[in-house]
Amino acid sequence: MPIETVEAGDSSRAQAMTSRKTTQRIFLFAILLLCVSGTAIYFSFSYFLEGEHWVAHTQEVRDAVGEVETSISAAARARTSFLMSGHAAALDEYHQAASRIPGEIARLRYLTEDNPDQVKRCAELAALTNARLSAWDEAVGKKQQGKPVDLTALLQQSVTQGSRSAEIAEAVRAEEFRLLLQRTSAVQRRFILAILTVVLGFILALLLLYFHYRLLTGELHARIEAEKAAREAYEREAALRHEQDRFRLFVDAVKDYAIYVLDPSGSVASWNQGAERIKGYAAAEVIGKHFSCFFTDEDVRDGKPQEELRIAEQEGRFEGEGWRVRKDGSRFWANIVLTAIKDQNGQLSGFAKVTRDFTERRRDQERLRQMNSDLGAQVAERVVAEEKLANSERSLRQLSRHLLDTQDEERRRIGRELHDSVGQYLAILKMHLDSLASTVGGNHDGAGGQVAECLRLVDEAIKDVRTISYLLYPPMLEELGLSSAIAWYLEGFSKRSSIKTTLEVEPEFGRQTREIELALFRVLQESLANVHRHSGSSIAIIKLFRRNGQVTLQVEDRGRGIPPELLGQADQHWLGSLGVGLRGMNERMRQLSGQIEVSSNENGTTVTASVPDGSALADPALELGCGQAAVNLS
Amino acid sequence: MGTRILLADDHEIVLEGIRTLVAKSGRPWEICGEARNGHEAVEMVKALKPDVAVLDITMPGMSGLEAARIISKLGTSCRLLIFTMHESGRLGIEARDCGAHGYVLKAQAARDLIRAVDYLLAGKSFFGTPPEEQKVKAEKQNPSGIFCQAFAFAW
Repeated sequence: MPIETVEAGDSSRAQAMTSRKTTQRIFLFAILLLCVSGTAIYFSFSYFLEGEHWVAHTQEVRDAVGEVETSISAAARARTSFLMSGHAAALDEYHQAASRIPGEIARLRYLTEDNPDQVKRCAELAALTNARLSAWDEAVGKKQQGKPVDLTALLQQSVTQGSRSAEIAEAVRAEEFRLLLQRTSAVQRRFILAILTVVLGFILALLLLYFHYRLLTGELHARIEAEKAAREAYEREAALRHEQDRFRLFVDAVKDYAIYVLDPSGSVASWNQGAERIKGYAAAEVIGKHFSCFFTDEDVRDGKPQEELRIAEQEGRFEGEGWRVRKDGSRFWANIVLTAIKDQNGQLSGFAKVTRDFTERRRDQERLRQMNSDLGAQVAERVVAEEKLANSERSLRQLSRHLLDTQDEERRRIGRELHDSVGQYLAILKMHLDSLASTVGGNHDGAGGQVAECLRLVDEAIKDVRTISYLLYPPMLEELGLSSAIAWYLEGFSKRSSIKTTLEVEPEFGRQTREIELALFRVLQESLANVHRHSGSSIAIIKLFRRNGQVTLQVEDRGRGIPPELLGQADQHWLGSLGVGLRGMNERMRQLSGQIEVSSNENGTTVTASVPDGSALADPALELGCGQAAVNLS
Repeated sequence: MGTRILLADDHEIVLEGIRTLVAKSGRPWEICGEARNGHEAVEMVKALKPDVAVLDITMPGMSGLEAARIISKLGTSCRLLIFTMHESGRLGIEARDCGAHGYVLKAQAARDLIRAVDYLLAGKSFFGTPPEEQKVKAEKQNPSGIFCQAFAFAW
């Protein structure tokens, strides 16, 4: 991060340099342009002034020409007047005018000396004027002397020279005017050029100055940003330094952990109080020593220090426990964490090592392990005992199942025997008695009466045998199935108990396995016996149906219900409190992976027995279990 | 050719009793076969084609009711009489369901058996009592039966 900042600083500084140079150049160029504009202004004004000067000059020349002409004409008039009248005043006037002429011509020549054409014309004008003046002076002299003067010739000559002189003066004037026009247009051109230069220069200078202003603003902004970044970097660095100082103080102050740094070769490079406390070396003694001095001799021989360094370098970290040696030679059990320190280029710059004294903990762990194994042994004993208990419970259950099975089988056998054997004999006996009765006839007193008595007794015997056999084993259960057998049984039950029964059988109920049919039938018998004995109900509703893979028999009465304290006793063992009959029912259901539920309130009791549907019941384990039980017990 | 009767019962004494009854009745009936269980009864009906088969219910293997069910589906003209110890109101229903034409209780054999075979041979049924008596009984009993049921329901 700092490196990046420095690079960024360099590049920004280089940028600042170039932009500053550009700014300076632009500024200088703008100043230069302004100077050029100023110069151009100066020149345009001087041209303007020069133009003015030339206009005045032309005017002056024209004035000088006019003055020369005026003086010449004034001299001519005074000469003519003197020549005509001879007055002295006219002579004076003539002298005054004539005396002015040479000066005025000299001024004219001075004014036009820059132009050779004008110089030539002025020379001609001066020569002509001088010739005229000398002619006039001669004529005036003759007059003064009183000599006759040829006025006509003189006038002729004067007119010729005068017109010539006027031509020259006009030429001088025209030339001046031409020059004036020429100069004025030149001045105007230059003036326009200068104005254009000024305007362009000014605009360019303004643009440059604006650009310069922008650059300056940008630079200023960049400088502010750079200063801010530099300040922040400084603050961060300061905070980091502070943090580092604090961390160093913290590391130094830690006493429970030896925290120190190794250089890449494994020599100690730093040391804290904890290290001093745990290992016994002072910082001055140990810094520069190789850290293998903390290992036991055998570990050093096995190359463990190098191995630890190698693992830490390759995997970034090494953690382990082992015996280490203090300065005084005593050993302690150490937990160590060795972490490789790498610089930004991934080069190893050393290792950080944290060592803890785990001797006490190790001792505790040993104790704990010992206790654990003791406990484990106890648990194992207990498991064995529980297994024994479970086994005996299982065999008890198997015994009870076997008892139930045996009881069923015995009942079935006796019932069948009674019905099929004794019953048949009694029936045939009755048949013969009937025959006998018809032979003896209606004699009620003697043998006929005895036969009738025998018939009555046989009828009673048949009835009793039938009732006993039906109670022992349901009639028709095997022949017709559960639903018919229940209907059959209910008829007899209603007659015996005068409890009205209603049977609701699902149509298409079909047959179940012999075990299921018998078990459900026994539940029915037991439940109806309870209804008869305890409920006081005058009706019983029996439902038989198949649903969700279960065959369910429900016996419902409208009696007084089972007392709550009896029903509420110890949840899962509640059947125990309800007597042997229900327990037997439960056992039968369990044998077939079924269940029995009893719900009761003051409006009556419902017993619901469910077993998995006959087709689904094929549990060889169960049958095997029963078989084994039977073998064990027989 | 005389009337032929097949007997099916697993008790020799019962078979003997029936034979005696038939003999004493003086009817010109021939006991054409004696089966000891349901399977035998079915096979003998197929083979001997009797006019009447007298079937005990409780027999080893196949019961008389099951045999009656199979025989009634054979499409023979054999009339089926259930002859049993079991006395119950259900008996008539079960016997009818199995396709039998009547039943006689063993305890009433001397009184009813010959009569029942007569009825069956005459093409009538005999469910404990002759059909005409049954009708009379039904007519007599029904109103009181309904009354009793209504009373029980109201109670």
